[in-house]
Amino acid sequence: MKSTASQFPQNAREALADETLQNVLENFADGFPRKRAAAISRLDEFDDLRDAARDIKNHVLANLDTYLTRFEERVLENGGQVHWCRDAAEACQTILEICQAANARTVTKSKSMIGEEIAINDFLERHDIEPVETDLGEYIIQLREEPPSHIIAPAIHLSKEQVAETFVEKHTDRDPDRTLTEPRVMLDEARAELRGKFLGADVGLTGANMLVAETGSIATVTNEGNADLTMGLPRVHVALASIEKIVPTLEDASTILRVLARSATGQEMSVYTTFATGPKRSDDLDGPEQFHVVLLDNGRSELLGSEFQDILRCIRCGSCINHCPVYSTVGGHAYGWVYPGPMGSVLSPALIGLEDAHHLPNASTLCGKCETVCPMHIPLPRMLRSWRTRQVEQNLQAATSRYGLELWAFMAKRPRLYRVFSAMASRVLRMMAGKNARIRWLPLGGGWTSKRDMPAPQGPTFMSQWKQNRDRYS
Amino acid sequence: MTEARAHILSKLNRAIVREDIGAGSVDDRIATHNTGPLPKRGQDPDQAALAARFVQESDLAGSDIQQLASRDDVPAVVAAYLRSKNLPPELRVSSDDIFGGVPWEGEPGLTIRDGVVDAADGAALSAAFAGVAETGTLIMASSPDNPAMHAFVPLVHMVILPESRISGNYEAVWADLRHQFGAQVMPRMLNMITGPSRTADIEQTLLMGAHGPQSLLIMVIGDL
Repeated sequence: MKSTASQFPQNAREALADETLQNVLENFADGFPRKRAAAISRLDEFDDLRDAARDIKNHVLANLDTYLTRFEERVLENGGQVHWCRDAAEACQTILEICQAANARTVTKSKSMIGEEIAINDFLERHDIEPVETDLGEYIIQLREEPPSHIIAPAIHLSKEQVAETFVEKHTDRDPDRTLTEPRVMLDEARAELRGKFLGADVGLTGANMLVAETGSIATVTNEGNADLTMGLPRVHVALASIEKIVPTLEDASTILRVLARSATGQEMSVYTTFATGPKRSDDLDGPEQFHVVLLDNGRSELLGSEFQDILRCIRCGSCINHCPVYSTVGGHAYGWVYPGPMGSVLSPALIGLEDAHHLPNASTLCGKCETVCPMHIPLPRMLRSWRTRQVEQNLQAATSRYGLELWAFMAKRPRLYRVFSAMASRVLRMMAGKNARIRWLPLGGGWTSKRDMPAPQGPTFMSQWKQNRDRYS
Repeated sequence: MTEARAHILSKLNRAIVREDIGAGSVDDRIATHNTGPLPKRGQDPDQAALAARFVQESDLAGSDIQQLASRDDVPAVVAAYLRSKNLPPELRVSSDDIFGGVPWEGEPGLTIRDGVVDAADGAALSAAFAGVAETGTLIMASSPDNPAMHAFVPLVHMVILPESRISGNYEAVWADLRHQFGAQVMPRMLNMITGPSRTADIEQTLLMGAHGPQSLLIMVIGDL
């Protein structure tokens, strides 16, 4: 998908003015956090599990090359194939060749963020292969030709009326005057439409939440069961996974599963967690004849050993996004690329370059909620600050903030001047505010005052109070 | 491809800040199967308490659950469940040994088919490898006798779970699995199932039966 991350301020302004989106987001900000809190309150061991989950991924990252080769050995032993891909182009080409070798015309897909990252749908379409998204949310946005706006709830930005319009427009074999007001009816329609696609697909393309080194299994987690139908019905199963998805054993997978669903949707467990190991066996009545794992690097090896290594622990639960005040104000599309919210603002600059994504690390109040709720203890605010430091080093921040900071630094290095100026500014602001101590309009601060009042400074400056009351405090 | 493999591995090798020393520790780590913190929920004193926990958690997850004294009760329960879902009295049944002793002749109106499910099947019945009390999760192990698709294609999925196969946590099941299948060996598909299929993708409205079954009936059999 083509990035519009460089237009974040413009995107955010449009999102704020979009009434439908704002209504949907209001609903969003309440749901996920409440469900997560309820699930965690039922499990005393949650914090211990988080620590253990973090330690597992740290251990894997410290031995990633060995773990990947162990995983590969097991996949080969089980009759599967492993394809190593350095970047999006290699991964797309590999998947295309697998599809072409199978004479594939249609490919069913279960939701994969890596699939979005490498834009596999566009690539397959250009080569006359029809990709069909099967996760309901992902299916809806595929019909609308939109990118996902959330990593676990891709159509969270849409109202049910918009979904109904899309179905009427795209499901042309059905009565255009049918009643589509209830989500239940829309779901049943989508289920019926997709049933034929599941049964008729030549290749099934899934992501993978984990790769188990012990057994050579790929693990998928869904609530709909679409990943299982995607991998179980066609002749060929391709699992697309990035290299950091490794866990050593089934026990390690269990520890991560215990924090994953609770952090994501507030479920104890997602409905379907599936470990798929190799192709159909000799007497099996169902299952794919071929089992491929496409291992994608796409910039992740660059993060190992860097100050951004910790983001490789991310299990894509979406908790940081669900709790982010910026995300719940502007939604996911404003971020302009595949991964929105705090984890995206850390990961995207690494994957598409800081120049393109330089606004994203600024799209945070650094309130720290994301780190608090992250089941893998990823220090997201620390890494957002690291990207901000790099922006300054690479001269990427906006001219106004650069000059503003230079001016402030000039004053701060001259304490006497600073004191005189701040006392003056404080008096002027209080005069502007008038009786109710609120400033309705501020020169150079229109961005702030157009949405809310600026509180006026209360009383004299800190330094003059300090001088006056020094005796009392000492 | 081999070029990409060598390239990625050498990049990782250069970049990694190693905490352990080399491949030996990785193989040891894989072989020892250390568990993480095990929730107290699921560490119940006996099998009856585990079964009660399993029933409670399955119910919370939206499964329908019935505790039966023996296999003899299965046909009547199945027939009634199909009626309650307005489905015809037809059922695809996997060929697991466990179904050998089910007296289907007690429900002469019920049509039983073997083999693998197809799109026309409204309901399928299969046998669980295990149940996990901690979260009311079924563990299904695919085999020629238990095709994985039985759990996903039909609108209604029914499962037989002997009470003796209920464990406290997932880790206990992995130990059983290794004991039964061998170290590092997995069934082709191992499905952990916690409730019926669902989605909340339209305005966060929770709806059952997204692509998989709309209803899941678990029959816990006491005497097996």
